[in-house]
Amino acid sequence: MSAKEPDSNDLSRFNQAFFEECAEHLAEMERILVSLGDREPDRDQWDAVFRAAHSIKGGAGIFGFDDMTVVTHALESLLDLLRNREIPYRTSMVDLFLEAGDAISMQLAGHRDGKAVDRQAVEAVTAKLEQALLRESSPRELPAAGVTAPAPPPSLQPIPYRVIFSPPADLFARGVRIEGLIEELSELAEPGSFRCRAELTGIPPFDGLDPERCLTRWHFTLTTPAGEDAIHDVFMFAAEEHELEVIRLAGEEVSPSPAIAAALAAPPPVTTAARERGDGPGARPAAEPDNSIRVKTGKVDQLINQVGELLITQSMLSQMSATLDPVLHERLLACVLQLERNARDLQGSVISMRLVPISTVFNRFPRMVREIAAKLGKNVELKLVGEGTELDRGLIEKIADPLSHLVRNALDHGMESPEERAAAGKPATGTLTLAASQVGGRILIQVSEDGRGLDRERILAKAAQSGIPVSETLTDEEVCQLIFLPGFSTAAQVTDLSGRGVGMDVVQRNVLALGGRIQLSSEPGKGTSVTISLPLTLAIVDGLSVSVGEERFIVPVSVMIESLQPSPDQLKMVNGREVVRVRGDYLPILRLHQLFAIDGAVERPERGILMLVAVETERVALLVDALVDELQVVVKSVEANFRHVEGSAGATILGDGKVALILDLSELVLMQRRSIAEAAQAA
Amino acid sequence: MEIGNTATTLTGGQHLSEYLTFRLGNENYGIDILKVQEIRGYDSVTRIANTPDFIKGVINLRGVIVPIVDLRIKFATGEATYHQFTVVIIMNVLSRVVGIVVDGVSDVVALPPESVKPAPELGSTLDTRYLSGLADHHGEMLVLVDIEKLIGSDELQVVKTSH
Repeated sequence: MSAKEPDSNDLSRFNQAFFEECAEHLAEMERILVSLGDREPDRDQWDAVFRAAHSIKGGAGIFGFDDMTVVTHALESLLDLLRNREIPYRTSMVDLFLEAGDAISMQLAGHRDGKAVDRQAVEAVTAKLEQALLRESSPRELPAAGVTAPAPPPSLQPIPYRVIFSPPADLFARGVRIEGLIEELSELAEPGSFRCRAELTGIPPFDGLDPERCLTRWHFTLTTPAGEDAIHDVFMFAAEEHELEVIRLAGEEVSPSPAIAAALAAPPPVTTAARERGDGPGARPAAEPDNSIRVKTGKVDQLINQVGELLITQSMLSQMSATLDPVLHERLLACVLQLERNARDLQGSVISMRLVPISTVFNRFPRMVREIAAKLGKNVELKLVGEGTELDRGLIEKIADPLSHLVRNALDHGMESPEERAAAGKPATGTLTLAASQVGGRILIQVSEDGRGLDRERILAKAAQSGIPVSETLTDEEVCQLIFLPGFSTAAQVTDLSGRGVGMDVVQRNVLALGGRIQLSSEPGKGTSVTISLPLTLAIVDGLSVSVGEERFIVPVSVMIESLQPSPDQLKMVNGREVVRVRGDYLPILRLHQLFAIDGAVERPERGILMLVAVETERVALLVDALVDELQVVVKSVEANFRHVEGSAGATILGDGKVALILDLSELVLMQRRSIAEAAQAA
Repeated sequence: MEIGNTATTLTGGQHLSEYLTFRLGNENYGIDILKVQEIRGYDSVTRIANTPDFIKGVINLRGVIVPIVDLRIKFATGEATYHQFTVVIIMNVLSRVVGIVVDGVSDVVALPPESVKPAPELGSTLDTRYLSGLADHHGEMLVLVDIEKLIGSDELQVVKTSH
């Protein structure tokens, strides 16, 4: 399938760099293309897209992913003509480019993850690109500047360069093939202008010669119109910066005015059109001032852990110093207080390192909405609000799927067809809004559309049909809740987009698993809006510490509704199960001391505390001895060194240095069910 | 982390493996010293529900949550008491950090491979599956434990549950 070099981890290390870059280029290309809408891209945009395609091709060539170069070559050629305005732009081309981008991604995934590549699709796209190239370029018989071949492109003075490449001795071990570089370089050169000289340095005696080490230094001279960057591009993956020297020879013909010099620094050809617009130099966002660094996430996590440690030590200090006489130890206590503030600030800064803007998720939607809307024959405008809102990297990855689902649902079920909208007196184009914002310690993400809204009657009918007990007296809010039940779907017909009956319940489960909540509101004829509320980070949980016997546990605040001390008349038995009656509802009681076999705990609910918690769609009452404290805890993995502990979602370290489990209420409910089932079986 | 036994090369070119020796009841045991991260006193542990009694629970080891297994209970080597001399050996095995409670750490000994004899079927409280051999050390029998196998075993339920 590919000419992937057979050997060495060493090479795969470089491959990884290529894969990452390639994915970035593809994303950039797609972002620009999708942002176009019906507009014709401007020069900068063309250049950026071209550059992306060019870099992918270059990298793919060097790493021997020949299948990728075929597609990218066709794509690049077409883009080159377009950006030089040698062929007219058509909006339909965007779709073709997007398709090509998909094909390349698929090939990339094939090389990187060993995923299957649909070669027919790739070939089809390549053929389409080539056809477009032929169709568009052939009628254009009279080229603008009297050039016959499309490459090397016209209009720039060729300039002589001397290139000195001093490769390190381990060049071959990196999988670089020098002959490929020479060939590529010679293609840049004007015919007849390419010279190559090898200089041998420090040759050892023959018996000490290691054929796998590169001892050669290369001198090239060539005259090319392509510019210095093009030369650097050839060596992109082969040479470190200090190993390559590109010297512009004082040429015969050129008088380098600053404008031209800048234009020369631009990637391969700059057309006259661009220079007339006076933006030649600006056409290229030259080596962007990069004020960020790439750090392995593991390192950031380690830092977060260490800061968590510091916080624990600090809170131990606070606890201990609280017993000291404040008059005698005034200065010490002041320092402890100062330490607490500093540690909190530090924690905030460190956690912010893990935060990434939600735009990384939102960016996928313009294209998705465009495609789905086209498929459904609906006119939809997508609005993105608050793309800069930041949230935890881990959350970003996990929220993408639920959001896609909501967007699909909104387009498929919520949004009406243009005719329907016109009939309802609404503008033909509907609006889908994705909005993100931070409210306190939580992130709110809202997916809303101005579609038809939920149909109360249809939901009730569907619920009745699926055997869900409903009554006409349900409030609108309760009706909305119904669609979160498993197996619920009101789509009149099942489409391939949504409506397969796996839907909102899955979304809800995923959101809950992230410590989030989901809410839906809808107004008939005006639209529906779904709001997801997420914690800022997965690394820290707002929790209540509770005691059971001698032990302490953390209950995430996100599942808490209220806590109460029941009076004996609130406690009932239903079918042999203990329940508590709270304002007309009967909630099953979960005895934590029973599930975790803890001795010495409060056994009579009226003596302890019942915590009412929401678990997926139901509510249960958790019996604990007492509430101890409300605190933010750093989530630690138990599984890293131990197996999974049933009923827990990790653990944390309390102020006294002891470990406390963070409870996973859904698992506790399952444990309870199992123990009831086992008891029933035994009986 | 996944290195084999220590190979100490002496001048004669002889390879010695180093073992940390400890006591369980009346028996002397040895484990590969390269697997040992540190030795510490027994501190209060947080009990984990629904685990066998030889899993004492978890401790906070400088921010890392580490399970503690009491081998004395697991192998019924007399009464398991906890006092200021009770020792926990923290080990790095199978990319995990696990602590084992023992009656006391004795020594670090270097043994030439030829002094390690295969373990007989009987004669030790530990199942032969988890032993890498027996050695004679100053006239006392030393039972060498393959700690990786032991920690990784289903029986110990550290890595996964048995149900």
